Amino acid sequence: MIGHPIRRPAPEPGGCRRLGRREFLRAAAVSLAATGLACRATGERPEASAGGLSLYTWAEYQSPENLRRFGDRFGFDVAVDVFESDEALMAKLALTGGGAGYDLIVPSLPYVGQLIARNLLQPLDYGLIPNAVNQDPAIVARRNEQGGDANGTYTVVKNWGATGFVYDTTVVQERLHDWRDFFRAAARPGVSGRVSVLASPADVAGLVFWRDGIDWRTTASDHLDHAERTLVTEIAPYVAAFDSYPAMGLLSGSYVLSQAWNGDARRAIIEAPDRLQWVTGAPAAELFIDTWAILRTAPHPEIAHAWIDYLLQPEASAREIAYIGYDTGVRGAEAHLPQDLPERSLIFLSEEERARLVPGEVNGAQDRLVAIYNRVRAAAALQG
Amino acid sequence: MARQLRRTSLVPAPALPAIVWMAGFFLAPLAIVLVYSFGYKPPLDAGAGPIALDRLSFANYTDALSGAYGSIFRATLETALLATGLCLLVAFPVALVLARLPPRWRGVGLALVIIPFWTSFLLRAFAWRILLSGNGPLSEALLALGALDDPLRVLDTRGAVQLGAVYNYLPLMIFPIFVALERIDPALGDASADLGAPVWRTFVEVTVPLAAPGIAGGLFLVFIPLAGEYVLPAVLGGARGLMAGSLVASQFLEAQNWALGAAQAVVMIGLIVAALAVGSVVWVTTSWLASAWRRRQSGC
Repeated sequence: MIGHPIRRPAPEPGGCRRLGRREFLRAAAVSLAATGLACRATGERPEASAGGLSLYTWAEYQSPENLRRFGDRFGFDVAVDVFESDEALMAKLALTGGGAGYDLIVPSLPYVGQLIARNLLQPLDYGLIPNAVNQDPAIVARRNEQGGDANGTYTVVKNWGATGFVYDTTVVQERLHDWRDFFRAAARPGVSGRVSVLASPADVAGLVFWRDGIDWRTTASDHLDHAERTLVTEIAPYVAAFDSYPAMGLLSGSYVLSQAWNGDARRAIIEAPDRLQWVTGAPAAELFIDTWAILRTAPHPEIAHAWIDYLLQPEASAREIAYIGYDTGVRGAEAHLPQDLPERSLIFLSEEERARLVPGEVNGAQDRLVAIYNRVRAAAALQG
Repeated sequence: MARQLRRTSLVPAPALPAIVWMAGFFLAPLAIVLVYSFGYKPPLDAGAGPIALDRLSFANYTDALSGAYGSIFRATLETALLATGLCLLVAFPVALVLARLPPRWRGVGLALVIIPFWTSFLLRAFAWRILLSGNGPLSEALLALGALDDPLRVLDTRGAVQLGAVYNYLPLMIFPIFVALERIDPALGDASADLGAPVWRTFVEVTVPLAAPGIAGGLFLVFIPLAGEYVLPAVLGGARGLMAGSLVASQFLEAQNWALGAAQAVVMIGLIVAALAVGSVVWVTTSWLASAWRRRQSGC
């Protein structure tokens, strides 16, 4: 077994440690779901935020500083409510008939097409978003290529990220480069049982597709069967948890090999840079693009536009990047980042890394992917 | 005549609010879940809502009972039964001590059991995550004492769920047993001793049978919610501690497949009812055998 002493995580540079996205999310998701109060609790929000702006977004996904500054400018508090998955967002909008009193939502790009088809979004008025010119054409091109909202009629890119993995170099001695290495390392004694993968059906199946050179947007049943077989035999026996925010597990030594998104991986690596190593997925991996969209039923559409415009200013955008650890694709933002911002290479991936990334898609395979995911979870549970 | 009516009336007026409440908020939703379990998930782009009921079938049940999911139901029952048993073993002595405390101290003892129960269930589950983690206080203490060579690795296992379950559900077992034990007249114990029964025999033949209703109540209170437990496996169980409750939750919250989730929920309710039925039969048979045995003993 492993005799390495597990080090305590060093305090985050720059002072106070904030509640990680993972702990927060878990607490929020579990408590809401467990008590079945998800609908009730947030259904009360419209009255609470009658005067201001109301965001429905992911936890720990916007700079509190920006929320405060923007609120001060208009003289109100920006209300933030969180969801833990795109599916949960879709469910909430379906259950509340498309409103729930929120102004802005943060769907991932693959879900935008559905939102538009269901007539839940309103077209953006670019006359109110002059800072839209600051958007990096490269990320806009990736957004357009994905096709969900090809001209940005309804969405503006909030930030983007990639799927890869983190490993603990004190346990995994040799260098890992790609998904093939990930699978091989997972089975090794000392690593087995300390592996985490994302709690996301498409990303778990993606492990196999990316490794084996299959387009991860596939709907072919032989591809999906192959993914299921491979995951049940080559991932399920070794996995400790399905965890979308593995930073805490990596730092506490519960995990030594974790599939992760770059920004969340960075949170862990900042605290243990000499021990944890990031690899952007190869030969292919997910490019996720999260977007700002204004609900058709938004109570404050003009302020919602102003918020989007505000975040497209380089200074405000830099605050977002520094806080969430993902690239916002706003030109000029990088120049406003703090000089000592650690692990920049995990925020701004290299050209070569970006070229490997493929945006996801919600298609006919969706239900099958969820079924595969649940079968892998069941298979993993039976190992113990 | 009036007396006759009162006796035969099936719905006594004072119980009406409770009956209406249960029918509206328990039976009706249960019926909805049952109906949903025969529906199917409509295509995503239909925009029709989360469930379609125009074609009804048993397909969800076939899926819910198939290999991998079926084993999760079995594992769930095992976990719940084992944790309920452990709860009983730990709770009985505690309840016994509480019941035998002088009345002045009994309140203090009860408060010590109740006060942690005021803390959020979720927080108590999280506290175990900190305590049990590889670099947590327990692990470091055991390492320092030389009792462990490697950091503790209990988290994200079924064992961690079991531990969390015993801890979190303990008060639910202690209270009913305590109430039953407290009501036992101490004179009965004295009488048993006067008649020459050793302490263990008084315990087995007087205390335990009299506490039986409390034990049964505790078993129900712990087993039923525990079998549907969702928070503990999510917080402490990782990939290994998955329980049926998490499967149902993921169908509703992640997959948006209400039909399959409903079928899984119905299967789970069925299993819990079956387990309780088997348990009740065992209970009744055991008590019948025990009393038969006692009768024969006293007959000798």
